[in-house]
Amino acid sequence: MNYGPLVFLAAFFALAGSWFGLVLTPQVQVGRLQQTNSVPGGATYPVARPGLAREGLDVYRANGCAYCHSQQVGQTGTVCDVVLNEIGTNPPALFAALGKLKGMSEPQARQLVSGLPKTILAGKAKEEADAATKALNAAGAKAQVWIVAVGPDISRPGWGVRRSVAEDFLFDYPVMLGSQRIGPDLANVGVRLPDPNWHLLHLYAPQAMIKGSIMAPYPYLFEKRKIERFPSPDALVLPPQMAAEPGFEVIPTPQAKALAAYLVSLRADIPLFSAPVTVASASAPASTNAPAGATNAPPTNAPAK
Amino acid sequence: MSVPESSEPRAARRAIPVWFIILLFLLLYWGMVYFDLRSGWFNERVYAPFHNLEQVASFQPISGEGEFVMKGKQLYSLNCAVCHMETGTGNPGNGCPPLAGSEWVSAAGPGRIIRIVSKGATGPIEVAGKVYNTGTMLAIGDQLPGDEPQKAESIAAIISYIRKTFGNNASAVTPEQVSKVRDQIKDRKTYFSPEELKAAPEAP
Repeated sequence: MNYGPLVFLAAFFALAGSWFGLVLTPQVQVGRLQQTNSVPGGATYPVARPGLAREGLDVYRANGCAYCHSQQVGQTGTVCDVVLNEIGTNPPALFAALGKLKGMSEPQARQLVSGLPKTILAGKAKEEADAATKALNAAGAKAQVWIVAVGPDISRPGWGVRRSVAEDFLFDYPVMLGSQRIGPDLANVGVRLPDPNWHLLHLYAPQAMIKGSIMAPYPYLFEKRKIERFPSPDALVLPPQMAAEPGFEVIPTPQAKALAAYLVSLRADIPLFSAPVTVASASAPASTNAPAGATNAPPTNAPAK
Repeated sequence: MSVPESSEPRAARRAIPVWFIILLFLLLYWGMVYFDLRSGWFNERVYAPFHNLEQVASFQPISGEGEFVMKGKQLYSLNCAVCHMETGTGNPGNGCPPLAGSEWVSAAGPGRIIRIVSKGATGPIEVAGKVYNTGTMLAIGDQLPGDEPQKAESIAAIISYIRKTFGNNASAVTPEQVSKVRDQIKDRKTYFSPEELKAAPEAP
């Protein structure tokens, strides 16, 4: 029996199916993704990286940073906290409501509301938090539901406050998602470590900045040169045992500066519709993913924090 | 018992049991229901751990006073900061008074500042112990985009922002208060003078 047509059809449908699922569907889904707005705040997100940081993406790619560092924060759930902002006009009613909510006596409730704003309930389901907020607000107080993303990544200090979504990578080409975490995730590194000088020192000598780091040093992104008349303002401020011999200094190349600018431009703390999270309004970023430090300006040689 | 060498193992035909077909359909049905409830139907705004768009919408942070003030900050940068500066220090060279520490801004009642922002002001005006007499403030409030309710909301956001920043610490202003004042002065075509403003009620 001639199985040719059958084999052909089977292969055709297998390839067509994977093309449909892996190429066409994602293209329909996010192919026309556009800038969006942060929620709340309404600031445009994302904004394109500053020029130097955009160049840094190419340095990041060329040096294979993505082999050891991912740029994607995961999230396994979303919970609600109830935060009491103001006692309001009717404290006895508030204490009664708090007593009912938390099963506490009035003196305990009185103690609880000292030093507002304070988290009253944490890690609750949406319905429960809404009901509690309603009960507190009915007692004249000002309570608010805080949306909190949870997950193993988010519980790590400085890794971001919400999951990564497609918008985060809108202006990155190629997207440096990474798949291995031999080093830490870098999606939020610009918030975690906002100082470009720290990154320059860390690229030159990782072990000088983090004890026991297994990261490879990148000395070829730096140049050791003789000090001519004046020392360069860009020279790295190195610990004594790593410093260049007297009369020499270590200068970051433009690639190193671009890479540091790129790293401090990475952040995963902007609340979006598709990744809702409550951020304190005092720290709500005015301009979304603009880097924490001014990255267009060349890094100075101020000592690392 | 020995098996003859010539005998090949043979599979006999047998019908698929009915229970197996029913199980398959039940699994398919369960799969479709699961997909329907949890896939978000491939909506690009639905990511795990959310199941559908309604759920994402229900988890949006509730807008509060903080967000309103943030909106005011953006509007301030666009419309006001050219003269009054991002830091609210004003620009004495232009005759533009400061907002930081200004008694006009942080008055207990926002009636006068609503009038200034809505219709502008001109003439020598004393702010924080200094007289500014060369500047004129345009009717920024009337020039804001949108219809009247949107203007009132924008003005309320701007005033709430300037009353709460630059070291000022006065209460926020609601769009209703702004609408009420703007209703009283809606036919006015000229800038306010400081004397007129002083005559105007402080309460909205």
